[in-house]
Amino acid sequence: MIKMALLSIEGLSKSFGALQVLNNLSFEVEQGSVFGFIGKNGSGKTTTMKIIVGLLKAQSGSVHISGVPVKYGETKTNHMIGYLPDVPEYYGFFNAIEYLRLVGQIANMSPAKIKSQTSELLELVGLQDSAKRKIRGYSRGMKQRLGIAQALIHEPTLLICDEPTSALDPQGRSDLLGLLELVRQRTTVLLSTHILTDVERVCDAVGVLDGGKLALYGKLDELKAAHRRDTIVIEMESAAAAQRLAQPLLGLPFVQQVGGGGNTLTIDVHNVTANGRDVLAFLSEQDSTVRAYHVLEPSLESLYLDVIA
Amino acid sequence: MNGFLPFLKKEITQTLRTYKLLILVLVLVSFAVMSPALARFTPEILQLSGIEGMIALPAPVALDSWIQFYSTTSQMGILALMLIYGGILSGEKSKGTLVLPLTHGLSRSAALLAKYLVSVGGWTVSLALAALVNHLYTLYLFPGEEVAFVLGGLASFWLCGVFLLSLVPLSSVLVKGSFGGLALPGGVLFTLLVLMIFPDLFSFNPLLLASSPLQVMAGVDEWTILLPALITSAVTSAVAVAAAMVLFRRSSL
Amino acid sequence: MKLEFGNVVGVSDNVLDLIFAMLPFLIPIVLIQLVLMIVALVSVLRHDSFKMGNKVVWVLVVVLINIIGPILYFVLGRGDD
Repeated sequence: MIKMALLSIEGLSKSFGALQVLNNLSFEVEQGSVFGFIGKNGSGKTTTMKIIVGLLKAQSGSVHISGVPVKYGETKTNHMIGYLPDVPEYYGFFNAIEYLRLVGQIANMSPAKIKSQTSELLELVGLQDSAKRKIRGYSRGMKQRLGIAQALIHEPTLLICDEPTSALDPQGRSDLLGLLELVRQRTTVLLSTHILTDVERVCDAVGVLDGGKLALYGKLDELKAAHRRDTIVIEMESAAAAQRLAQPLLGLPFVQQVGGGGNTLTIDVHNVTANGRDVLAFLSEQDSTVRAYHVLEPSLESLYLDVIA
Repeated sequence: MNGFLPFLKKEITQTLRTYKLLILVLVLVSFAVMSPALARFTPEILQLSGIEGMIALPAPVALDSWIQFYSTTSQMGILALMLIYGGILSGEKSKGTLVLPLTHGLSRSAALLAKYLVSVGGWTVSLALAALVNHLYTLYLFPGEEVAFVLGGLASFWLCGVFLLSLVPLSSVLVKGSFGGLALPGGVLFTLLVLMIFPDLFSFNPLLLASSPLQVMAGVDEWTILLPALITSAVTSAVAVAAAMVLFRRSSL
Repeated sequence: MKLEFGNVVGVSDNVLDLIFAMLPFLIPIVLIQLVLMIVALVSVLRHDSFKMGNKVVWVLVVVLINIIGPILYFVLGRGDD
């Protein structure tokens, strides 16, 4: 099945004065995916998101959501997008239920729908016990979770979260990521962040923004496969056993290089799939106990550093 | 104008829950309680403090209580009004609380208009209550005395407040910061106060609406002397609010 | 004594009589000032962050400056609304 692009961005450019923030940026987000939008602080993530939401005007280029063009100052695409800014600001004199009612009414939802969505979402984000407390007493984590609830109140097809975890403590971060994993069953998510472990936990596609363009873009597993080097990591029972084997391994015709430290050996081969079996066979001939064997996966961090550097 | 009614409801809730309306009402009503008493008892107070002989005071009449009311309300009252409602749009702009409602489709014009109307509503309610209190106390202290043009005078004075409030949204759009909404009204108020030195030269001065009604009430002038100032105030208010809406739509948040 | 409570026609030259005649005005004024002060004071005590100044300053301003003190607090001091 061919998945359709829910969000497509083409040739987007934006500068503030002399500073060019976005330079002919193009990418697509597939329906049902969680897209990680990665970049340094100031790389233009927030600018891109504000243009998608219609809060900023691009100098050139276009944004389409389900084929409908986004225009600055118009509200045609608002019902399809839920937006959570990096630091959401609320009316402190409202409680969560009142706030959700306000945005629901602005989104032209029926009172019954607002009511059912409110109770469902407050439970989803875990705020049902604080629903009648004034928002001014909320912690940052609670405000982020209310932010998810308000962004989902009108059942948008695309949820846009700008650095949702950066202001949170480790517990709050973990909670929010767990919440995003639940949310992905309902809607497509575009998530900006500079925390790579967050991306590896929840995203299936990524775009790395650098110099106003995407420096790396694609599905996370495909990117990793494409950048996989033919390296095997073997963990032996002792450092002595590892040292003893290093020299004989290097003697094998398909082994290019052997490295490592302690009880691990990293072996570069011509082709992991074909040569991996031979390495294992050789090790069992040598009567050594192998504790762990795996093919080295490139981490997102190494990919990121490769393209940024 | 999408989202106007829900946002208007939010603004009303806000002006009530943050005690803005309560404070304005209490301040204006306290002036309304003081004014008739000051008008009525000043001769006695002066007499008892022994400086009676120095100034010969005529016996106070009901009009004096309104003169006192206009004098305090047009100064301290207008100051309180502007302080309380001057940050109504600037505050949201600088805090960023408008972002989420806007992403849900709230029209900027609707937000601006709702805020303006609530500030005008706050002024209307507090001025009406204060005037009622002043009227009742005047009746109590000066029984049987009638004052002409009380309602007409109040309507003129009300329009003067509306005029100043209508500069707040425009100022908030043009000037950044949490008190940006006070820049333009402050500047205009200062200029008009200077022009008040020549009331005959500048009969259009909206600030005349806070003092000239007393001349009509005293029977010195016809109400038509207020006409130029009434027209300027009404037209300027409408233009200022419309301009603020147009500029707000184009400005970035 | 020419005066009874509420009868203000011709207040006498007696200080007590004058104060008595002004009670219908003094009582509401004091009440309004009290309400303003209490509303502001409760708000000051319930908040920890202010736009400017700190708790002690605002308590003093609200308690010591009649009418204007509470307005100043709600306009300049109150942190969130």
